[in-house]
Order: sequence, then C-alpha cells, then structure tokens
Amino acid sequence: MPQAWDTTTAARLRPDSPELEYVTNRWQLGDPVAFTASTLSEIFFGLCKATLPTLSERPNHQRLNSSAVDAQRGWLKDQIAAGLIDILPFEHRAADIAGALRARIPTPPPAPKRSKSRSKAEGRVAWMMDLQTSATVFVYGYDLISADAHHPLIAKELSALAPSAPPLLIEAPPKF
Amino acid sequence: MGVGEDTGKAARKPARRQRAPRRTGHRVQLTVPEDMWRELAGIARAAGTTANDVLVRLASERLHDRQRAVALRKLADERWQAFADASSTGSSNGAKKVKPLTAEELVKLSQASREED
Repeated sequence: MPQAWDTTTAARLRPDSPELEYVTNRWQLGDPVAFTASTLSEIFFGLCKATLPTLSERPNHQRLNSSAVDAQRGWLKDQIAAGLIDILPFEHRAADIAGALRARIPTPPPAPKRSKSRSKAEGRVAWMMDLQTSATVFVYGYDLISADAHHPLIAKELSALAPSAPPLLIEAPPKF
Repeated sequence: MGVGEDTGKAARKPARRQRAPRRTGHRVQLTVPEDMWRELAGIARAAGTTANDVLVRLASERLHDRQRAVALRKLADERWQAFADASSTGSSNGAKKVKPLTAEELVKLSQASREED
C-alpha cells in the first residue's frame, strides 16, 4: 500500500540513514514514499527556526549550525527534485476535509506533558498541520506512517465524517 | 572474395549475439518507430541486453506505475465521494431555495478561529 510519512518519520530522512535506504528501495520498486506539503512545511519550518538568532534567545531553544541546516535543506530539496519522494499537495478536497475536521476538533487533545520546546500557540499550529496532513493523505488514497498519537484520533474523526469511506490506516514507522 | 575463402577469421568464434532473457507469454510482431528503436538499442547496449528486453522491461515498469496510479485514484475517489455524500459540501442542489448567507456572515464565519482565542 502506498505510504505517506508524517513528520515523526519524514524528519529522520538524511544522507546515509536507514530511512534513506528504505525510501530508495521503495522508489526502485516503483512505490515511492510520499510526504504531504504540510509535512514538508513542518520540516522546513523546524530547520529554519533552528538557525534564527532571535529565537535562539528563548530558553530551551537549541540553535544549530546553520551550514549543517542549509546542507540538510538543500539535500532534501534535491531528493524531492529527483523524484525520490512524492509530495502530495494540500488542494481543494484536502482543504475541505481539513476544515471539517477542524470544526469537529479545533484544538489538540490535552497532552499529559507538553513539549518544553513548543509554545501553546505553536502546538495549535502543529495541530492544524496534523489535520492538513491527515486530510491530504486520506484524499490521495494513501496510508499514513506516523508515530504521533494524534493521527489515530484524527483518523477516527475522518471515519465519522465519511462513514462509508475506506478508512485512513495509520501504521507505525518501520523499524530501522 | 568468394564464399568459403580463408580470410584468417574463420577460426575465430563469431561474437555472441546478445539474447533477451527467455520469457513465456504471448509472441507478437510489432512495428517500433525508428527513433524509439534507436533509443531502445542504445539503452540495451549500455545495459548489455537486447532492445526487445528493454522494451518489455519499460512496458512492465509503466504498467506497474499505471496499476499503482489507478488503485490510488480509485481509493482517493471512494474516500472523497464518501466525504462528499456525507456532508453538504458535496451538492449545491436546493441552494436556490434557501436564503443565502450575507457577506458579513460569511466573513465572520471565516474568521471564527480568530474569535476563539
């Protein structure tokens, strides 16, 4: 079944990684892994944020070497341009579904422990991105590979929104 | 030079012709456009196989891509249709019978998230 990776797995893709080997094997078999445009945006946001000096002043903000960050961004863009990963756009059907999901579950469920590196506002934005990702993957006919506890909840809401639809399957990331 | 004359090459084995892997299936004779054949032959030389083999492999890959795309499209359409059927967004039938929302109401609705916080 075609797989789309969410940020928890997609962000691990880097040169000489087992994730890269896995993605390459799937590409060679004619079944490339996909990321949603929202997932890609999350990855680029994280990379860009890590190098901003103004944000680095904040507590718990880990500022990374900007050359290493630029190299990773460039490398990832190259893999996408080469067709190793398919990017699923957030288009009108996904927007329709994401809006309906957001109306049903406007905020993320309370987490037992909130990440120290993420503000409440950022958590809300990340939630919107999760909704967009699930909606996109759903409407493109993929399964979602995710270690995020939110996605099974969103998939359940999708089944409530479209009861006769083949459900969005959430699979745990492959073991590398 | 007549047939059967010794050219000094007779003792040499003729270069072995590349053969495609043996396949079972439907045998066909087909006309391949010249430019396509030249390209196939070039790929075949580089890969150490025959143009026929390259042709079958490319067709196989394309068929796989097509089957995958068709299956994805089918599932995508089923999911979208199920969502559209279950929600009012799937149809504009009867829209003329109800009083439309005002522009102000629509703007207010689209800004709903800004009022929640």
